[in-house]
Amino acid sequence: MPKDLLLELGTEEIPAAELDRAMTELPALLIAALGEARLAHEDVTVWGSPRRLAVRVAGVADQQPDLAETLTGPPERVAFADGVPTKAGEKFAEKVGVSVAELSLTDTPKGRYVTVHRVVAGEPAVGVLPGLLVSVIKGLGFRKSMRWAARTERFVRPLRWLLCLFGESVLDIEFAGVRAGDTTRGHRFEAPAPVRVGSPADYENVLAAAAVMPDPAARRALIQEQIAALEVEHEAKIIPDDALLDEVTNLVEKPTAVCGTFAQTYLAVPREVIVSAMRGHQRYFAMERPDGQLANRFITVLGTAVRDLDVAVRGNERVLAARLADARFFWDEDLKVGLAEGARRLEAVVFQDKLGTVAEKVTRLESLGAALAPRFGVNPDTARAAAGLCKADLVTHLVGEFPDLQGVMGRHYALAAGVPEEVADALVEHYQPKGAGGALPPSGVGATLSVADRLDTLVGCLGAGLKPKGGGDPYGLRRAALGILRILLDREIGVSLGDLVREAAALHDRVTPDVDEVVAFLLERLRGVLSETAPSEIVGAVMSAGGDDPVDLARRVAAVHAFGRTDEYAALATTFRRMNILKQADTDLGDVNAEHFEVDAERALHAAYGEARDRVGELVEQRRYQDALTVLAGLRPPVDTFFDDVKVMDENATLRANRLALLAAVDRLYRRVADFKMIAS
Amino acid sequence: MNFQDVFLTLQRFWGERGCLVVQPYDLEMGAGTFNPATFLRSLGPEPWRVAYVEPSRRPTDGRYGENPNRLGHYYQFQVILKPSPDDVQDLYLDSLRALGIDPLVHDLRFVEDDWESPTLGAWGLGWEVWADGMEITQFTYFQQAGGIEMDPVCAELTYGLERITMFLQGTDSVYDLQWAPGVTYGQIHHQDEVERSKYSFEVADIDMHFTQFDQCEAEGRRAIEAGCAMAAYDCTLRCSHLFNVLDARGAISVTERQRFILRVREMAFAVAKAYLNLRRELNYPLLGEAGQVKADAERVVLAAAAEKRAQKEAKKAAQKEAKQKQQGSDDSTEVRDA
Repeated sequence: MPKDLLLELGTEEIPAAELDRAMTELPALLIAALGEARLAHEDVTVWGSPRRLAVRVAGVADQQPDLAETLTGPPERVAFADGVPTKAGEKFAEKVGVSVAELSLTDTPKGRYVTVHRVVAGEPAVGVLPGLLVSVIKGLGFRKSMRWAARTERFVRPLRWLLCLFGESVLDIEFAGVRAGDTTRGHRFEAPAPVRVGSPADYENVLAAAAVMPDPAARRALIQEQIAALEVEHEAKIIPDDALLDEVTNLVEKPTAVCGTFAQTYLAVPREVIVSAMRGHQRYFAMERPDGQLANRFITVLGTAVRDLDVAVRGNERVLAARLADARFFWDEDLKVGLAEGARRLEAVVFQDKLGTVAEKVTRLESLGAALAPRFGVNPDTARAAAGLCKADLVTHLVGEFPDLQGVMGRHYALAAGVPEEVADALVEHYQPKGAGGALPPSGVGATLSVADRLDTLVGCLGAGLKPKGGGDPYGLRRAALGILRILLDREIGVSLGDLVREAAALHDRVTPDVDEVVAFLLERLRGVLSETAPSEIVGAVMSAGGDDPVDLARRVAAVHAFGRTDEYAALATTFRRMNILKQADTDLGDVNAEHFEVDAERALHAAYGEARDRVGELVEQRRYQDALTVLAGLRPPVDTFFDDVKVMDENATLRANRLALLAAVDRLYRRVADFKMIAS
Repeated sequence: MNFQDVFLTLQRFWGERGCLVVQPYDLEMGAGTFNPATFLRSLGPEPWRVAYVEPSRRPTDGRYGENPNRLGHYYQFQVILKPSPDDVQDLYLDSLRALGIDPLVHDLRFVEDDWESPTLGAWGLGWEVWADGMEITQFTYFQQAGGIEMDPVCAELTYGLERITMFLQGTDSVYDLQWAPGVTYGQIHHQDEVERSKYSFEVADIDMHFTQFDQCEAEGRRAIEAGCAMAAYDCTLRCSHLFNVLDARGAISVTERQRFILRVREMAFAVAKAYLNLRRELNYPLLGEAGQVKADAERVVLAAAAEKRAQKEAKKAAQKEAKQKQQGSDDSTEVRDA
């Protein structure tokens, strides 16, 4: 009869992020192992809290089915000679444990082979499961694992108990010196004694009675419920923070949310600083008043339902007050020093060993920002001013304490020093976009500086030979390239990447960047970006036709993509395929010579080409790629007739070269938009 | 509970649980981990249980006595349990109960915090322990020290004595703590915080500190070569402190910083290796009779490895020689041809 299987790994406190990963991995490994062991089962439930990782599989078969299998040995001609088994035949029989008489022959597409049909008897699950479970435990991977005491095993934190039941009986497994039993532990403080779990179905109830909620979803929901009640009570709402909620959920076995306050006077410190101090160090939720202003309140989630909540609240308030006092001290000190002095101190901060100091980077950014500004419709002086200040907050106390606030603090200090808002905002914005889907800088100055900063880093690092390898990209070069492209595309700033890179490279005096390498790196990222909007073969066809202006390439991709959906395009595909004949041609074909035409179809195509060339030229100039494609599609009849009537690879070398030259000219015309041969072939 | 009651209680608590209660080391150091009773004794197979107060100096944390929570000189209470006992968390929680911190009254949490000391080449996994949101202890399972894998692994408990006493007394400033009846922490230490901050940030002679760093580094190397691991470790500690003063004084740029850390680390690595070899030569005295067996077994392994290395090198040398000979004869052929 099928039975439920329960495994609980009792540990010392598991880090929140490791717990999430393990809760995904444990059931996956277990299901795979059961499948491999031919043990049928029903639903799988997984639980996790700081001190436990558990999984229950309902209705696991108590017996493996027998396994009928066919083993294939050597070919008949090897295994038998004149109907008598050879040495090879005997060896095979011996290997699979049958007598020679039991060998049979089976016809396969490759010939006749010796085979053995055998039935492996299924084993009872109780015999299979212990080994299976131990290898699942050993198979769990962690970002960081450790050893403890004199043991050699590694695990995320020391393993302290194992609960393992199959039905109502204990499965005798052992890992890291811990033997499985039928008991679990309740809450570390509220229910410390071991408690017996009678059967897998009881697991959650037993723990509930011992002050533990093993299901993260239930804990999360309870925290949200408690927060909602506190929000009503204190007339303030938390600033939503899913990542923090997830983390806090994994920091407690049973949550108790409480609300604390801090002195109003600390609200003079910028809001971001207060939120960071609460969130980063203390895992507190910050709160807002109904008018959107930061409230002098916070919510924290306790792990123990302590006797007097006020005691715990007062303790947390004292800790936060100390942190905020520190933050206010730093804020005041930084204001005294000022951003201009901060910028000077960057001379002592190394950007990268081979690329000099951050001060040198800032000097380059001032020039590059000013040079790029007109393309962004920005006043070069504004861009230069923003560039000069953009890294100055890196040496402030507060950014040292809260690195995430780089840029944000720069803006605050700039505003305090009377810097125009447009410049101050750019100090925050030049760090955007953060991450793949992050918001782009809203202002032109911010966009200019963001592109300048990323371009400088990209050109410099590639110039210094710091190309990202495989999964590693310590300087965030792929992200930098992506940021540049996203901004250019979003703002439709048509510009040659080659020009941009040359401008940035000219400002580096410690390294000599290879412009082509940087452009290729950018184009490779662009291929990825554009492939999100159109099939990658279209992107490939457009990009291999040349060009290094991302906006122009994007327009061509869009045009071809739209055109690709029309009937005309389908008809053209054959034509493009025929153009592949050019692969057999010499690279240098020379010009088309009308005097060497012999067939009408040649003259017709040449004439049609001549008309189309001028028209396509105009349309491409005006970036009207879809219209250009319509004109190009009109070339199909003369091209088809040409292929039908003309023998391209004529024995006469002159005729052959002339015909190929004509086709090459037509192909070049198509390639003003895309290399269609790549799509069609 | 007074400040002195806190460390007296902890000393008694851990002393009763098999820890040797020792005294602080007599050189400046940034944390109790630097005391040889932790850094060196955590290495190797010998069991070790120890508890002690360590006055710790972090010149960069000095705040002229103006910040109620930060000090350039403070006290840690350090416990090392090797191998880490299976009930180490419960033992630790009992020590908090002994201090009057009841886990049903205060919210106690073990929050992930991986520890690393770049200068000592040491790292471990563990937590910071929170009491009502205040970090009161660093709890670490050492995985490596001096670049050497721990075997067995020890547990390190580092109590922040001022923090715990502030928590117990409910004071907002470290200087208001009652050290003993009628005496505050501020009365004992405020003046030296002010003076030490001034010294580290403004007064310390930069050239002298750089010179001493170089001298101590060289002396440490000499000591190692002479088989005096402990003396070499003293030099390492001096270098570490000299570096900390220079860092506070703003005399070390960001790039140089990394280089100085590496210099101290190299010394720590060399000391760790030398110390372990010396303990082996002594047959791991703290293992009792098992020490000789363990040391002999290791000697066999080491000898085999050394022999293998020697063979490999001999082979390499022979190949090199043969190659040179070959080249030599090639050269002579050329000469003849010419």
